[in-house]
Amino acid sequence: MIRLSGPVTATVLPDQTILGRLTSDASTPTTLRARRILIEREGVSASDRCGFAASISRGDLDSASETPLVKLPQWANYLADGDIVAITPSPSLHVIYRRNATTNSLLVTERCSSNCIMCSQPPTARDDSWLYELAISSIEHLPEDATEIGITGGEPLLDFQRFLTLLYRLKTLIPRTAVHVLTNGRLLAYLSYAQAISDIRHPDLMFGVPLYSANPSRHDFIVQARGAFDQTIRGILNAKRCGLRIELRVVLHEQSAPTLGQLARFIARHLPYVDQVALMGLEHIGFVKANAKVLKSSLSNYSSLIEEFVTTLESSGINTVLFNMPICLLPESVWPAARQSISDWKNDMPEQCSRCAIQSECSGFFSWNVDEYKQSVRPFSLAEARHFRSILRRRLP
Amino acid sequence: MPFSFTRLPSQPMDATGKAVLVNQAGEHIILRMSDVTRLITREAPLDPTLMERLHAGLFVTHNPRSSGVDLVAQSVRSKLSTLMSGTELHLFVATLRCDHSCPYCQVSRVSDDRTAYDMTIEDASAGLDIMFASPSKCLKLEVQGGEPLLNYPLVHELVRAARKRAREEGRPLECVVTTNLANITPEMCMFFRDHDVLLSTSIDGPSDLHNANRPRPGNDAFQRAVAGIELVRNICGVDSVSALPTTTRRSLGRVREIVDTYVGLGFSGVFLRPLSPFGFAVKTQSAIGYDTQDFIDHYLEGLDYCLELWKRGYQFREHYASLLLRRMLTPFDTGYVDLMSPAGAGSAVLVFNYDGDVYISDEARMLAETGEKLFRLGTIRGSTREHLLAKPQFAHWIRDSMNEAIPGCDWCAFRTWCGTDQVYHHATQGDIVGIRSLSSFCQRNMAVFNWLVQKLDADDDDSRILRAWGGLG
Repeated sequence: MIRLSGPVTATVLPDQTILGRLTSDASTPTTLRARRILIEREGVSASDRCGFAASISRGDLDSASETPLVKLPQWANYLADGDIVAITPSPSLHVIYRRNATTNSLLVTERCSSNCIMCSQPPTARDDSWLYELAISSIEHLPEDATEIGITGGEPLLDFQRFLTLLYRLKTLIPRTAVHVLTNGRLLAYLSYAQAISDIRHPDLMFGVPLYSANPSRHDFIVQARGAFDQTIRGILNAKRCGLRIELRVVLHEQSAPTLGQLARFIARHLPYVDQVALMGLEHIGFVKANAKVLKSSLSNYSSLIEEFVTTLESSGINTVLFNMPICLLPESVWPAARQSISDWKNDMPEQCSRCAIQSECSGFFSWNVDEYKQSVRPFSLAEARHFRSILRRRLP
Repeated sequence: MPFSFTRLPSQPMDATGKAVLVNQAGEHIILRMSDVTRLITREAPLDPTLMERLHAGLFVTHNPRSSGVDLVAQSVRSKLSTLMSGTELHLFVATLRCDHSCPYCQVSRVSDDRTAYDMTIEDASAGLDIMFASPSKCLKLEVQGGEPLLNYPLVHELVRAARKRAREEGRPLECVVTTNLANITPEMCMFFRDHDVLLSTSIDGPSDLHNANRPRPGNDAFQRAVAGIELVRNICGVDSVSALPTTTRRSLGRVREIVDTYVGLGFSGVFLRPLSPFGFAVKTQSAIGYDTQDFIDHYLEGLDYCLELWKRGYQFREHYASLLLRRMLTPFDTGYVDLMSPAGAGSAVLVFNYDGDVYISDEARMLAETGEKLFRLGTIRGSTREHLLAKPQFAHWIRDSMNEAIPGCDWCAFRTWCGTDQVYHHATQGDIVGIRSLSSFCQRNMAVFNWLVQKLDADDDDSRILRAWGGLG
């Protein structure tokens, strides 16, 4: 697991948050330096730092620096040219964007209108609008060739004005970057909200919306919010009416499993125009730790449910994918649906996996799930790997 | 939420018997009558698992402003959207002349009189103007007869002009020619290939049955049709020709042979359809007709046999059941104009007869051949589309074909999946609405729906095969 933020030591404290793209090139043209943060190589002198927004030192801090200067913490050793970081006055270092990451997400708030029993990132009530402001300010630093950026929370739509501002900046500054927003969709029950988003006309925008059961009270129980099901369904209808793209996200656990097949049939019948459905393995973190008794079960107990879910939706022409489920715990028929979805910063594998012949093709594990799975996973032999690849090939058009 | 229910036949009439519940979203569920009573009277609680199924199926809701109402509204809106989209199917009767003299045929004549029974190029061209004036996104041109290839120059010109115009306007166009294939030539096939024309033909069953049904000089209708299918497949491609059987009294008891004939000819399915009560078929009813129940038995035996074949590894389906299943199991429209509510006649299909008269359906022009021209909208000559459809009766026909408001349909559980046919009920009962308990249209469809819901309810091979026919799995 890779850490993304933490306190740092600094010489010259910034009086406000400094955002910038990292460069190790001490001879960066002076005209660019105000938007760059120098990540120092050996032998950097005080004059080299001149003009940079800030500088990050690998060695002891130079107390004579006039440029804001922080010491690179151990956890951030992975930082490289092109990454984007923020240095706050506290002082702390936040990694906003990593060039080499498989996915990058902007956490815009920890506040949420739902309180899901399996939430991996339990909501807080405090005012954290600085997160949104940071995300909004960071867009101008993002590289134009970024393939995808996620917007996550909390519930990003709660602060709707800031959400629109963020989306507008994404559209104007990095229009070729796909944007994926994780939202409970409840506020889209107001047609004017869906309309306002649609009016921005972002060219590549998808909303990931959770739907856990076709039975309103079961869904409402899982998200711990009365009326959430109705709002989410209306939100989806409004979104599609406004031409927004929707990915339905279903988390598989003991509370959603009993009506999983019913949910697939419900989606196929009433929401066949959604753009994708994702069935996701449980993350063993956050509320799951406290609610383990009512949530947890081994993935292998769900084999036939997963098969039924994928078959029902696929045969209705709905693109269906599996997230957070290692291949060796899935029935063969759904292997082609498995995706590598876990951000690299929270992806780890237990020791057995190093002997597995399809390790690089597997969705792997959340770092916090490794202990759960290490008893059940099984490395694939070379022969099994060939079989695996032949099944994937058979499904290709 | 609103639903209708019907007791399933061959079930005890007490509380242990089963009923099927269907709602406006097209969802269905089979329950014991005791549970239906509980659900309606709310006197006793239902099993929680059952309640979850009822919620998911939009049969119940926890509050009157729930999103379930929006989802049902969405289904109703999609179902009615065909009314807004404009006529898609346009039938051109190229000629009434035919080289076959089938006793059940509604309209055709054996004649050499081209001036009396052929459509003229001018009328065909006027028909195209009306067709291309339709707001429908997709257009479908079907050439009918008589035997249209006896008037091949017109078919050639009609298809050529339609294709050209569709290309110019950038509109998708499907072309179908319905023919007995007796007189098809390689040159015609090459033209059809180059203009993406599909061919639809008739095969009534094995050679003796087909030839008895379809007399022609030489008594070789079957041999000619089979040779024609071969020719079309070789030149236009295997998927370019389809076939339909007509069921006469001679067919009864021979449904397995009929199905086997289709299997043997390499078709992936068969559409088992009854005789139409129109035109000459009414007059010859006594000679070739049969009771509705005879047809139902014949049809269901055919379905069973198709399922049996599927289990033995032949992926062969019955098309009428398949399209009903698609309606029952999926939210998608089948585009089948003969079973719609409001009826497809006029709204989804228009027919241009050989003499330039315009009718609301194929059955309507067949009825006209017996002298009843009620469903004639006008003539092609000098008419615009708006002019034809502005006929006041037309709105009434549409209004009276909405099964939500038809006595006998209004309470029927199968209403959401079913359709209506004003022309059929006018022809058989002298009234466009008609009395359902006297209607074989109703009797037949009820029987098939009843059979299908019960088969689907059993969690077995048959149920899985039927789901596959409906497009699931």
